[in-house]
Amino acid sequence: MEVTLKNLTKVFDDFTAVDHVNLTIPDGKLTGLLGPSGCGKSTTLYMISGLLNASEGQIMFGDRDVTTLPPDKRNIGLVFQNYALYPHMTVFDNIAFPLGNKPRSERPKKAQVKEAVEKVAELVQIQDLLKRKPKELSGGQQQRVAIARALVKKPDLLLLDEPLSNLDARLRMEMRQEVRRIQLESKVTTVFVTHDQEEAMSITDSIVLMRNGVVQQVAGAHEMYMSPSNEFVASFMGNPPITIFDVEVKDGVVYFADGQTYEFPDRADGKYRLGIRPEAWKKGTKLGSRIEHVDLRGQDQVITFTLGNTTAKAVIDAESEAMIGEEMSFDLRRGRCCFFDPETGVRL
Amino acid sequence: MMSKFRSRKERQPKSRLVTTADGRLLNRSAAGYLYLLLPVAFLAVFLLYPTIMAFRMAFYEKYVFIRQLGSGFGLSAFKYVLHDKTFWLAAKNTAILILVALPITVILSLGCALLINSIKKLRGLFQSVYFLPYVTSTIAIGTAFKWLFHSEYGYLTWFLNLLGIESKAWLTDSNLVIWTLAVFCIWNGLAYKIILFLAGLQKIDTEVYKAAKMDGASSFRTLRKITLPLLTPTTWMVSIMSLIYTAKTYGEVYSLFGGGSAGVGNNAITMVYYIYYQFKERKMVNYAAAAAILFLAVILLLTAIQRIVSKKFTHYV
Amino acid sequence: MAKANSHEIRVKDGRLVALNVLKYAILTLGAFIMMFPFLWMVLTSFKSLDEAIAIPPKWFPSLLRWENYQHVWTLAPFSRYIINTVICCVLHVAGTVLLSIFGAYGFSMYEFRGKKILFAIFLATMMVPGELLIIQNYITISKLHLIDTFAAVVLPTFASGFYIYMLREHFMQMPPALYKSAKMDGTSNRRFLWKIMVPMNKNVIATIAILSFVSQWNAFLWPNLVTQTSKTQQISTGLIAFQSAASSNVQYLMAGSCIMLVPMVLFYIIFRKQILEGVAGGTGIKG
Repeated sequence: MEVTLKNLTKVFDDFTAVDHVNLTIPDGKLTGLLGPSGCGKSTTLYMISGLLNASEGQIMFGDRDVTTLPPDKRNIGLVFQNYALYPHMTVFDNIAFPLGNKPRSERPKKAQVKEAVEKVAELVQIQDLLKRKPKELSGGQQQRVAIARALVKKPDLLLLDEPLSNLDARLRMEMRQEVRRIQLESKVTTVFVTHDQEEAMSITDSIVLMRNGVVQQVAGAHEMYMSPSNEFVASFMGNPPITIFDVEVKDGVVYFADGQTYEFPDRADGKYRLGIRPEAWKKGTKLGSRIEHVDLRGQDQVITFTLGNTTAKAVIDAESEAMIGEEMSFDLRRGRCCFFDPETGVRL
Repeated sequence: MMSKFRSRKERQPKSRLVTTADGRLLNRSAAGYLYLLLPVAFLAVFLLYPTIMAFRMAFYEKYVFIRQLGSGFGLSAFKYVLHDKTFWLAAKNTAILILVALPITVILSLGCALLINSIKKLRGLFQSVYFLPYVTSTIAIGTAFKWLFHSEYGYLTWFLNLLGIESKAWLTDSNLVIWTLAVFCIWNGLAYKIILFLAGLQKIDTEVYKAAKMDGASSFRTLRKITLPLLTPTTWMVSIMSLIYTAKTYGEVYSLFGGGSAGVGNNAITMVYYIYYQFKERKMVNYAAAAAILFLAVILLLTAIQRIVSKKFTHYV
Repeated sequence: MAKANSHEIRVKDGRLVALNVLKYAILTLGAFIMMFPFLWMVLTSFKSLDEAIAIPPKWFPSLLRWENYQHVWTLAPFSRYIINTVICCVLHVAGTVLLSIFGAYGFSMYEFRGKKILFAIFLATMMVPGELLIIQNYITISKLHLIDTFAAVVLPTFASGFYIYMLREHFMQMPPALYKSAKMDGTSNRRFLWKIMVPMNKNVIATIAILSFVSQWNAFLWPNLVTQTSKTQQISTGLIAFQSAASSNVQYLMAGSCIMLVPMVLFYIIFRKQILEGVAGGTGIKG
């Protein structure tokens, strides 16, 4: 089921949390709602769920307007950040609970419930835990139960609110792949809220990046990284982050603040903000600086240096060891550099 | 450099600080006794000593009130009490209160708390109004009940007549007084339990309700399957506390039926009232003590049973 | 997340509205039942005797007869009762708070021989019902020749195993680093108690004070035993004495009861938050 948001807005007292969002969430895909905390991503999710009423705008499921529908009429599965499992019920009862909520005529028989629960338990791989209580489970297992409970009623849409943020780093990697696998197997349209760009890039089909309640860009992970629509998107995606320089271009040559130059033949004259990704630097001869810090990561090294008056980071292969205090010269891969309008931040 | 030559006398003072297993710092010092001196003294004189003495007094064979002297050791006080009709009347009345008034107050207060918890507007106001009887003296409010129950001038009589029901002598009819008392006890006991239930309800994670909503649970099913099961620890706690509280009913009797005997022929007497009556009115210290010990034993037994039962039925704590 | 907000598209659900109306209706009826005895008492205290006992009822007095209260004041020394009660309340609060602080501090910050046993005894006393105690306490007080004094009213109420236990829990929850850093700075234990522990726990201590004030104001069983004259009688026991003086004059009886109730209702209105939270947190038991 395709979900369309039209001018969706949420105003809390005098604070606009979500500001006229227009968005299409494609059918059967995993869409990531990404952004820093307070950007309105969770608010958007909760408006889609129906737990939060919209202030303005429309939410369409397919061609059905659900804006004023109570949550239980929307057929949505929601996985909460802290899982919100029913602490007094066994895993089986937790998962079976949504099925028992249907009106008596539609309520499945005991055997059907058992079958449905076992099927979804198998999907999320918790077949052996059905008799346990939530408090006897690890964080990752609770997470799986929460997903199973959300999926058991065969929802048209699965919403995940920062589902991995309560897990430790190792489990997070594992569950990240699990969420992807489960989504691919169940083929359910899924919206995944996160503030972690790496998480979003690694498992989603497309990413919606938000800031201050406004959608910045909607794109696949690759496209969003490679061709960000503005400076904010460029800075938010990638680790180590992109470095932004204030530069001036004259006759196809970029002038940095300290007077060093680099050729960008096709660039028109004027002032720009130049974003250079860490992997755009390579050892060369053009731009020189002194190494301030080296962070060896094994396969490569992150070098911190200052160019003009901007601190930059470069990722260089680790074959030859860089030393703090050494002078180093760089070349640039021009294709990995982006020019932004200094006024609007829009990519040129 | 000096340490080699330091004499024994110059040794540094030993630290009195000790660290506990959970990382707290404590003083190993007799000053601890000093802080506890007053609390321990008061506790010993007015709590421990009287407890021990109550056990001693119950076994007095003879007691002279004027000289406050007891003597002998035997079971005659218990024998008297167990053969006293008034004692058994008090036991019966207390049992009625526990079996009838207690479940009604618990259920009513649970209902009130659920209702108050489920609304958004005026919640604080309702909470405050329902709690009012807690801060007001039972003795004072009892006089109002006494008049509302008055067989001639009481508004209850008038109201029942209005409905075509014949009113009764609520405060004097020997068969009715205990029910009148029960009504007052129910009204008087609601406030405290409502607040405890509200506190219990607030402890339930709101996310769980959101999850239930997403799962499509109706409000009735949410109540039955989520709220009530999650509230069982509170429910048991409230019922144990009200069991003790109800068993100790005294002020209600005093205010409705007055000082000396509890109503005509002591018909509204309760256990604690009996103890007090033996002591204050009849000056029979040993009977009072014997009754108090029997009462205490029964209460402890009931709480123990309730605890065992609650362990069996509370799947989740 | 879901803060109160003025602008939102309402979810339509007719059943929900009906349910809400029903809820408020039941709650209002309940509130009326809870309030009715109070309202009736206040209204009756201003009525004439004829109005008070009229059937069918005259709900409201034809005029506010403040002279009922004047008359009540001549029937019994209410000013005296109120002063006595306030004195005993203040003594009771001061004694309880002070002893609770001492006890809690001794148990939470010191290590000494016999601490565990002593604390177990304190806990055990919480189980002992007051009814068991009055007998010997009365004898003790009379042996000390304290019958009919304020000391008799308040002394046995000072040490509360429960409050000591509760305050100790709060003291122990203070971050250990606080005491460690105070020790590094050379703070004495006494100074640490009064300058750090007490101010940091002022909310709990205030709750203990407020709730013990309420319970002492309403205390009846014990004061009724040890007070005999208006020199020491409390408002609760004075009210009983007054009731025989007023006999069947219901308007006077209600005026007398109002004199006892109204100050507590005002007190409740002022300290509503602390009282409700204190009771919900397990600080108060009606006794």
